[in-house]
Amino acid sequence: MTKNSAKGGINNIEVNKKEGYLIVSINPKIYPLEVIYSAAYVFLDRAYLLIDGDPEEEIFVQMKPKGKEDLEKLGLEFNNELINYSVYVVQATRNQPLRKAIIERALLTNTGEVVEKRYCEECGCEMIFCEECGEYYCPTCEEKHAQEERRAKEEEKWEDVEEDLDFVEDPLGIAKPWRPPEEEKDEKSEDKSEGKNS
Amino acid sequence: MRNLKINPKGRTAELNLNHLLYPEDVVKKAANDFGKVCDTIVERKGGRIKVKIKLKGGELKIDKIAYDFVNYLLAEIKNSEVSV
Repeated sequence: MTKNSAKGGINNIEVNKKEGYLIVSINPKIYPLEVIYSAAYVFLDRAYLLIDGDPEEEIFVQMKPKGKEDLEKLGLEFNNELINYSVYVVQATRNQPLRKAIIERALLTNTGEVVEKRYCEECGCEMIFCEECGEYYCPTCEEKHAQEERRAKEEEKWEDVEEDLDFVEDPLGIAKPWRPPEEEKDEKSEDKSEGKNS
Repeated sequence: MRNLKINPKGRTAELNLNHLLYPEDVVKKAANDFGKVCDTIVERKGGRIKVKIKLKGGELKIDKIAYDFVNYLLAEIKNSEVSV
């Protein structure tokens, strides 16, 4: 096993070329366990990873690449990923109160009132909830009803007019149907004779 | 790997884990999930968890299964975390 301190000045990587794996030593006080798990998770598709050591003292991450990858490069990439997730965790911790406030605000804004769907019994189409009157109405049937109401009103009007016509007074006697003058003369003569007889 | 001993002839493998890094319930769940391809025995000795793996079928390779088991454990630990 060789330490690659000479190569890049980084001495936390031990390479075992014979067995084809490497060990990255990590101080858990600098990189918490959460960060180590997250960094290791990123490499799951490229390498087999096994974590060992003491979570209080030192953590060892053993990595065996799945393909033909440079072991040292893999170890260095793992170190970069540790930094990447450390930054993420620090930022997430800083933003936590803000995120909490946003979520709380979002949850409180939505009162959870759900307008239930109702369907028209006549035509089966979805009914609309009117917020002004607080009732559901069917847009299709509503139009039909409106038309029927209009028609009924018009009919009522005409009935009234006909009723009014029945009670028209005719003081001058001009509201009589037309008859030929001969018939009228006959009627008059009959009336006169009846009057004499009486 | 130091904590993984593979016996290709016997088609077995032995894994030695730290219980502080690999929770026992996660190890047991993984062992259960691998039940179709291998028989597993999970033992607890002090602060260590020993997992003995023995292949069931003839087509699979023990080293591949053992390494996949190790990665599966890590994925399960990560997935069990709840973060907001």
